[in-house]
Amino acid sequence: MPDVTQIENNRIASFTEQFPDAFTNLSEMGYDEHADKFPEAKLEGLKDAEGNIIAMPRDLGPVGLMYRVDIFKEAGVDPTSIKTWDDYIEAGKKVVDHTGNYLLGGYDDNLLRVMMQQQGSYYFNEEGKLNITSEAGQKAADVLQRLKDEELITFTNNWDGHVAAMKNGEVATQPGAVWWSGTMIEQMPELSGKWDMVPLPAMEEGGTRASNNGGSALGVPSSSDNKAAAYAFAEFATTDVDSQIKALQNRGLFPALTTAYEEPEFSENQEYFNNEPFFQKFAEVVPEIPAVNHDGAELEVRSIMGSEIEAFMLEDKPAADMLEEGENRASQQTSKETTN
Amino acid sequence: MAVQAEKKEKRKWITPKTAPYFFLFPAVLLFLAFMVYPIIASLILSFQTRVEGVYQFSGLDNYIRLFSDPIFYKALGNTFIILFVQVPIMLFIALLLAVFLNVKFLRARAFYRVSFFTPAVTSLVAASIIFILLLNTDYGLVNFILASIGLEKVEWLTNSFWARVSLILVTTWRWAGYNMVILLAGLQNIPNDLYEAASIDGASQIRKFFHITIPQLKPVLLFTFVLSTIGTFQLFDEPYNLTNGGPNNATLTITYYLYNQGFNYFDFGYASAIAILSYYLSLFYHGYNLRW
Repeated sequence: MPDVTQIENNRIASFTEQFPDAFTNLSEMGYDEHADKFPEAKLEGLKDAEGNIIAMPRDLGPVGLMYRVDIFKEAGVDPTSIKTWDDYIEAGKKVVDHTGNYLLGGYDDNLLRVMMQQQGSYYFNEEGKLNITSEAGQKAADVLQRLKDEELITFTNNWDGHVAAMKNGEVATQPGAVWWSGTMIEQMPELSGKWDMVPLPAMEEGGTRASNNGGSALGVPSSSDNKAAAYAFAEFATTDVDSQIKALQNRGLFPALTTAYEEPEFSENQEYFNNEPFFQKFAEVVPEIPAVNHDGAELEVRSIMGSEIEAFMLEDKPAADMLEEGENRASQQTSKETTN
Repeated sequence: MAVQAEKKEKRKWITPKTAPYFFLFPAVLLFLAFMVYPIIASLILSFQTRVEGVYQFSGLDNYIRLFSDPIFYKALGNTFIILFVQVPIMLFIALLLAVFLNVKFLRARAFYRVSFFTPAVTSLVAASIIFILLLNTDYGLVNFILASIGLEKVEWLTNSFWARVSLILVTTWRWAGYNMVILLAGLQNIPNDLYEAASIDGASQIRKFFHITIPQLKPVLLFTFVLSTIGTFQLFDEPYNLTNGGPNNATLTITYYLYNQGFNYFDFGYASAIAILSYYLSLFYHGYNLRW
């Protein structure tokens, strides 16, 4: 085993549930002193049942609505007028009328989860019960259904297909996490200057316009023989401002360390993103991201909902049935109770 | 070591009678450690479930869950579709290729044999990437060709039906040459006298094929059939690389489902139950087929 491991946020619970003593208690080693440097929603997900920190926040995945500046301009749509998902669908119709392509692409349950978290809800409630058919879930499913009925969304099959759809201009928007910027700059350099971001559309006028997808943390396996050194390294890697800025600029890794947001590099205009302070815009929505419960069964339920999304997109299963059947399946698979 | 011990203690441990056991010992030890132990361990594991990091006996829970798991039935169904559709097609193609490459007057036989066998030694990950590119709905070469002769584009990897077809195509591509080599070896063992005698009796080529080649080849055909069936029950690489088991689990196989449960969700108890059940399914299937 390594002395330090980087773990995706939403996978941590599935490790700790199966291997409760897998990670060193970092609170005991003094990490609590850094607690106020990170967003609460992030840190909450990195604690064990007793409230001890077991992994150090590395990066976040704040979500925004990334869009093609040139396409929106040609279609005569003002992206700043998109405040709700209803606005997004209306704007989308105009964009698609103009381009003949699609508004967005999708191949998994990411957007469903993003829209649920945005409403402070998730596949699980705080007690770990399945909560997929919640009101928030139904509202999110309704948006997906309308996007599909209006033929605004295209199935991109997998990561590569999704990147290709963005690169080829088949889609005009990408409601996604900030780390997409790394992929965009690296794989679509020719689109430089053509992408920008507005905050995520809200479910209702005045609703939350922030959500999260992904992000990672550094943990020290309890089997490590060099815990002190591992702690020192991970502490440096998560609290040193310069390293955060470098990772942001080179890879689009958005720091969890909020003190980094005050660095001048953060508010710099990004050439690739329409000469706008792209990262600053994401930093502004970070405090609004609702905290949700990533349960140990996360991966299993996501895989089930991924299949349901495929049935919805490819086999015309109604979005409402998708939630209903997904929740039944998940309950049957994980022997978890549901909230209803 | 053994010789030294003998000299020192002057006792005859190794006699012609005991020697075979000493020779067998390393192999038996490895067999016990890497075959028998894992099988027993996974059998035990299949009756256990992990509660807060500790394995506890849970009786038949894993099996009860398995029998009421719709995704498992889907995976089972997919596996049997491949078994009943892909295996016969592949063996038939392999047999045709073998007979064709066994023809005396064919030139550059070695070249063809190597060509048809190549897929079996190709890295499947690399091959899958090529197939994914070829079969892409919008930019793939296959659809480009179909479109250019006026046919509709096919959703090779994103439609449940066609994804299964793609999986069958790729599996056949990979394993037909392998079976061909085995059948070819079988063909070359058929005594020429039989054909000669048949020729003298005035039998046609087709008659010879059905009345000499196939009956003579029966043990070899059976062998390739058993190999392919076992391979199908263990099918994993192809759907993993090509379709990720999708869309909507249309290409999920038993082994792929086992992998997901074990290595994605860390539910090793349930994964073991799947393994044990699929072992017995495979065993009964063979028992049924081999009874003649």
